[in-house]
Amino acid sequence: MKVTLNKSIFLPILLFILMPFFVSAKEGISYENIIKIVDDKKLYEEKDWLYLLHYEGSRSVVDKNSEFFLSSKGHKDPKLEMSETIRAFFDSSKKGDEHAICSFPARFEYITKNARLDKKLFPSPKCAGYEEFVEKAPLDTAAIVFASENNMVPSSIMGHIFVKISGETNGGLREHAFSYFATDFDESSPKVYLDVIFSSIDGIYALTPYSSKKENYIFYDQRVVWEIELNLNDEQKSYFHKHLWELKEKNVRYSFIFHNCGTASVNLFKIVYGGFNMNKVFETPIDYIKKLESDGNIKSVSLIPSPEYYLKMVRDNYDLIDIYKIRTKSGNLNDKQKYMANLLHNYHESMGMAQNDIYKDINKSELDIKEEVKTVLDTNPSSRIYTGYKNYNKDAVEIEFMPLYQNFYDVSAGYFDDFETKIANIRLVYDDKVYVDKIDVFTSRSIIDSSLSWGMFSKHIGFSFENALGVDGFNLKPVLEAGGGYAFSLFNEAVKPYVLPKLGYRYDHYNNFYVVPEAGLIIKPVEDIKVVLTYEKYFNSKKNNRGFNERFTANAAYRLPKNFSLNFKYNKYSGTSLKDDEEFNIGIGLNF
Amino acid sequence: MRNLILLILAAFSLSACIATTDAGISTQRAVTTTGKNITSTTETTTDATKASSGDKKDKNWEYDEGNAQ
Repeated sequence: MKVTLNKSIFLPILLFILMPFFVSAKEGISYENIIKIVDDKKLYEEKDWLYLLHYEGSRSVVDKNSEFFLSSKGHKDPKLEMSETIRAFFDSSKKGDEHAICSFPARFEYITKNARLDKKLFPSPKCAGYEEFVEKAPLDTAAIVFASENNMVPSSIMGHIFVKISGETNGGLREHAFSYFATDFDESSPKVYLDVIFSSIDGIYALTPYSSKKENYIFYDQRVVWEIELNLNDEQKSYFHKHLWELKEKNVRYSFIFHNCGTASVNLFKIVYGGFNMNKVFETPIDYIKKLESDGNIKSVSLIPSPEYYLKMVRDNYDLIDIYKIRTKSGNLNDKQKYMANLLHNYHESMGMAQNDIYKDINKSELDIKEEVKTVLDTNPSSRIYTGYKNYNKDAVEIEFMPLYQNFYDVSAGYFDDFETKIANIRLVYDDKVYVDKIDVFTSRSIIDSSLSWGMFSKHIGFSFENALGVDGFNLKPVLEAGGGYAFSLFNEAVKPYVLPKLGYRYDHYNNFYVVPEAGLIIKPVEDIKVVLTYEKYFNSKKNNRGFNERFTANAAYRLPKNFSLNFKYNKYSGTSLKDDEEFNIGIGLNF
Repeated sequence: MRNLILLILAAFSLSACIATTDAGISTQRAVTTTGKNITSTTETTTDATKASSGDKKDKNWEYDEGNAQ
């Protein structure tokens, strides 16, 4: 049977059949339809959405009144924030940069991608501001930048990290720093310090030209800048770039513990890498870098040496006679010595010190100059626990916990200098009871090769509470010490003698001010062994109240795999009325 | 004890997060880019000269204008 359709009824039937497709397409761009899709998929519960909103736990670290949130409860209700975001995408009353699609390009990307929506179904506002950002601050590569520690300045003792983005424009390569900091910080206000610990204060991400920031670190602070380029594919780069724009001028709350300059910089990468589970109480820039490395997210590492650091890199090419000739300008210098003189000129100039002569036409490529680099990735992790056997008077177990940052006596392949920064280091002793033997509230110590320049001097600052020798109980007394000194390297830095006179104060029943010249020898016979010999003799304003008046110490550390170390210590005391004048310790340390 | 530690940490470390001014020194230096195993560096000796300074319309969002600056 042949069926034929009358033309007059064919068109209505065809329209009836096709109608669901038209409706579907129309409904596909409606707010309600998209809400149903994201509800079905529960997209607002996804970690990636929470990362975009900077949630830490149940709330966002972005200020609840910030324009970052389109919902008044967006800081604590990610579902509501998603629905308001979607509603704003359809809002035709907002034009240009005011439109949510311009303000939140990463959110737009996230929702359209995960709800499988065609972007063409949404309005197409002219996003002049965002386009300017893309054009002027392109992102072909993204890096974490680590400005190294400067333990001469308390605020820089653990270094600093921020994000660097780079890309080609019509005008050439453009590099920008994207860094986070606390705003309106009044250093004289005790309330501010309490707020940053127990609450939070205003903070912001800033975009600045990278070159000026980098040069500030290198030349003014003499700090090494490490650029750690991260592995990102093109899609991740684009997504990350869009998210940076979303943070422009937004008030992101600064909290010293939960959201500081380090966490805020690294956490930006959560949107492409997922979370960073560090499982540490105190996380430092070094810890973040090591985490990025262990997760396989580092593509390359670049070093920008400060003038001071570069002197150390090439120091091994010169013996003490070379250095003497260069510093005293005695006799005719050869080209290699002239090259070092030029480096010293640059260093002294950047430090604002008296400058050396400068020699023209010295071509480094014609000289046999070898450069040594200590890699930031080889630095010890920034917390340490030690447990060992102690023999003094009687057998005891010693446990020491250093939450931060670097221990002087350990081998650390990441640094040229021998330095120590300790914060809240605590030492417990167990013999027939447990007691606290010493608390290092803060110690900053560095023994630096001064042979090249007087500008590089060694120093020690320490504030602690400690028992007198022979006290086997909890009887801590305050000790304050500070001093500056001189060291120089021999045999390719294998041996470094130093002198470090210190002024000190100890209270125990009475005030005792003292001078203590310290002389020492640091020996590194092989890469994994470090021996430190020290001698101290105290000259007191009153009689000594520490239990001894003279001390010889021998420390030895052997670096083991997986951040373990084997540590020995021997102390010989003089000027003591105690029967036992020798102490011996052996134990295992772990940096983590 | 924990609060004391945190207070000390905050006092010493917070100012590292405070934005520094851009009164830097304009100099070009060679950068080592040799991957994770850093083996060598190229060094250029240069004179340090003061960078130009000026008002910033928005000091928290500033583009690198290159030679136009």
